[in-house]
Amino acid sequence: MSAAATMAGSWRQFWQRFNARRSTTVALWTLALIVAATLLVPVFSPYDYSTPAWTRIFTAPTWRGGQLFGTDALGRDLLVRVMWGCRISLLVGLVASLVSVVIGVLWGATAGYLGGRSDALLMRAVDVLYSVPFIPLVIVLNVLFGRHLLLVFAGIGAVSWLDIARIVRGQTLAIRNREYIDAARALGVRAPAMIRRHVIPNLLGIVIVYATLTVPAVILFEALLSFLGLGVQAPLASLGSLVAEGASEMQANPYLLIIPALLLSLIVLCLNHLGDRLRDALDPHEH
Amino acid sequence: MSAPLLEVRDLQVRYAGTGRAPARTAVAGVSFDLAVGESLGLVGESGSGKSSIARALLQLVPAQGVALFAGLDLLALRGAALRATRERLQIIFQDPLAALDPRLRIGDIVGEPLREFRPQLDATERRRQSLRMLERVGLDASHLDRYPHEFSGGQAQRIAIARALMLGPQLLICDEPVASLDVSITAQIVNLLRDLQRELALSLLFIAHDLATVRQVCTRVMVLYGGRIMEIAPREQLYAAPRHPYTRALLAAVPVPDPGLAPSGAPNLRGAGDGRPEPGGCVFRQRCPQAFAPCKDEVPPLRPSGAGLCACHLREL
Amino acid sequence: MSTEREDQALLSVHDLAVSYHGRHGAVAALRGVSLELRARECLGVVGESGCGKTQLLHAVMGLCSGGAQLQGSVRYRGRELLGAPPATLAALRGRRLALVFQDPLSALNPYLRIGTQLCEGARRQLGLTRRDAGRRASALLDTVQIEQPALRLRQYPHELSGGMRQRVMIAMALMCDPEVLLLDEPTTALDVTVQAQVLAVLRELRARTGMAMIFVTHDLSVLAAIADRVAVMYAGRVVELAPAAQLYAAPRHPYTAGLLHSMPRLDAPLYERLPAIPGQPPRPGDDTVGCAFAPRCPLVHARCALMPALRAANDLAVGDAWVACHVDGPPQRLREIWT
Repeated sequence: MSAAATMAGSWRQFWQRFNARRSTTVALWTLALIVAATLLVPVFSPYDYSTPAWTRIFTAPTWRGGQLFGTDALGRDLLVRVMWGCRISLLVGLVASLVSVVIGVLWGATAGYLGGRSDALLMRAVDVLYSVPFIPLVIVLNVLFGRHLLLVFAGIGAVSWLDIARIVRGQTLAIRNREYIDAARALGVRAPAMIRRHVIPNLLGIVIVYATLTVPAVILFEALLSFLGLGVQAPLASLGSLVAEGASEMQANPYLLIIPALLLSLIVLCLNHLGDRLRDALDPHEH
Repeated sequence: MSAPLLEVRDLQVRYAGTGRAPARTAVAGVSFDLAVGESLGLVGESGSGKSSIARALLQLVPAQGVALFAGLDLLALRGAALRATRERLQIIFQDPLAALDPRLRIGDIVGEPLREFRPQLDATERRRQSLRMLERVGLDASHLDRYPHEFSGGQAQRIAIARALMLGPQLLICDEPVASLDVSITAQIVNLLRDLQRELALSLLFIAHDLATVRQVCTRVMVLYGGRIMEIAPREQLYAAPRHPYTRALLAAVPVPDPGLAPSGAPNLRGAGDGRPEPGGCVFRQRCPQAFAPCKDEVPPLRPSGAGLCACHLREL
Repeated sequence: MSTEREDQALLSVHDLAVSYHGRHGAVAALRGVSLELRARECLGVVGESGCGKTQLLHAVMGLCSGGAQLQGSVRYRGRELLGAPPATLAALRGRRLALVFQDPLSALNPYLRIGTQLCEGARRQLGLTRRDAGRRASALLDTVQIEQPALRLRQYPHELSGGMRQRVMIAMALMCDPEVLLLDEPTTALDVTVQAQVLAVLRELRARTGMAMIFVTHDLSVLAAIADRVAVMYAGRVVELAPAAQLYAAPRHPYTAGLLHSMPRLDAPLYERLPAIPGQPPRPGDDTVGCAFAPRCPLVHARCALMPALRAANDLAVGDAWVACHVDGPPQRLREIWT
């Protein structure tokens, strides 16, 4: 069997296992639809997310004029704002997760492989960062540097790599005792090459799973920050800030709260489910 | 008589105690020589320290003592000097499938030594040399792009041997290379090792618990018990006229596929070696059928006995 | 293969086939095995990995996993075990038929003390009091050469060495004084000196109690010390079955002969090169048409494309010898091809 066929074969097996349940297919399609909508709707909609329209404030969701979600306190089209909100949320989710995974994996694999004092040093740093109160940190950053989307990334990024670092370190400790590591040491492979060539590829399974579960966690974090007014700056919206705006209008115009909240929940639910299924699909393969 | 390739003097390996297991001395002072082109067998049961010796020589576990390999002390080298010895001294392990990185393709696994020590070679050249070595151990081009889990134990051991020989080492340490292989494959691997030894002028340090296999491969055999050498002798002497009581018990206990020759009684040993040996004197005395007074007081030194050496207070044999 | 002596057989296996659902279809672990265990005898079953010997024992004890499909018949003293109600099997297991598992690390419960595990079955099957069961356990630990039995009874599995655990498994199987003892590689993890001692214990036990045994191993040498008859398995089938003396002296199947000649042996001359069987043993998933050994057999010819049945060996020096091979030449020839 050629190399390509072998790879294709194992991908196919993996996909079969992953996609075995209907719920997974549903989750995948839902996410795909949402992503497509976030990309396409703002492009094709006649409305934009920041122009106020004073004659049309607080209109309920309706088919008229394509304003499927209605308008908000300033007459801005909620559909477009929600789509922008999804964009920001997903962007933050993906980018911040990617950054934390990269940092976390390198940190944890190095600590786990080197062991001894280096391990202790690296993991004590993690412990210290764990104890830093997250929200006050972001407040301080906001005060010092003003409100900016990048600060959101920085704040979240500073914290979400810690879990991954711990998990990766644990896995590395297990891998370190495997015979192929001894064999590579006997071949004279040095630590950086060892970590890069032998440790990290064998961690990928668990890293992918945790990365996929980090994304919804980060999205929720960002939503929390924006809800508290620490995240995106108006007129940009994220799902969190939209929920905040909707909360203040809850009594009179509940749709302003319900729609962004529902969408946020839907995205997080789909991602969590996919992360779970990914773990199940990868696990038996490992053994 | 040229200088020996490997001179080991008073090698000791101690494992520190962890929460679970108490501290123990795996190798309590072992000294031996290995000549160029020789295959020396290291035989012992579990707990004899034979695997620890192999790992100590490669600094895979910390050890004390001296191990001169072509003049350099393997146990004292660090950094670049230590790395340089990897080209000349290699090892194959007991579980060949575990010794291959499951995420890498065979071509990459066998080519890894070249990546480390011949950086001037490009990928195509590495692949070509890897293929040549694979063919030498009985595999072919179709195996280059496969993954370890697609192979049987015997094939995986061939791959491990190919990897170990890529840089042309002078000494190959074989740590129980056939113990986890099927019986019908053992002969194939044993033959392969002997062929390669002849072709490449390799010296072998062959560690095993099966005396019959060792007899097939090695010209000189060392018997270990409890971290010490009990006897070293040329093959002919060890198998025909063993001096040490432990060697005798071992040989008597090895089953042979002939009902006519099968032992009818239990071997002549006391106990089953479960408990920790009491300190002091000969490490074998609690199981030895011929233990007498001096065995408790003094550790018997290795003394010449026939064409070999024997560590036993019973001298007249 | 049905024998006239089936009524005398303690355990009688007829055409037993076990298959599982793998990722790519059905995987056959056993493909029609027939043999019998007679009273007071030790039947050795030898084969390499993938030959199905462990599955054979599990099928007899009714321990195959849920997804297994079993066909054929397994009779104990005339009673059919395959498909028997769980209550029947539970009453027999431990009490009449006991199994010593292959891997003591996974077969012993890490959270229970050795004493508890040893006494568990005996107390239920025999109704012994805790003290009596404890005493019996102690005596059995002594029998299998475990020192300080009282101490060991209070310990947990992880506190014992691998060799000790395997001996504990043997003691556990003996607790209820079974009539038939099934052993799955009982001495594989043991040092050779301890193995010799345990084999001596098993021999003495047989002589004293008349217990019948099926001893499964990959090591032909071990069987020479204990088996009365030996069955050689390959790829889920029995390829040769003969009294021990005959099998070792004059094997009739090329595979058996190959094994005997390619194993390093202390009693054989030193070869420059060991005669080796080429190729690999087949894996359980591999399906072949015709004789499974054909790809590796030096005597292969056209007829081997048809699966050879287990039939009585032609020259009946000692009767009761069976071989599954289309070639039935004199044993001389087999010796020649392998040396």
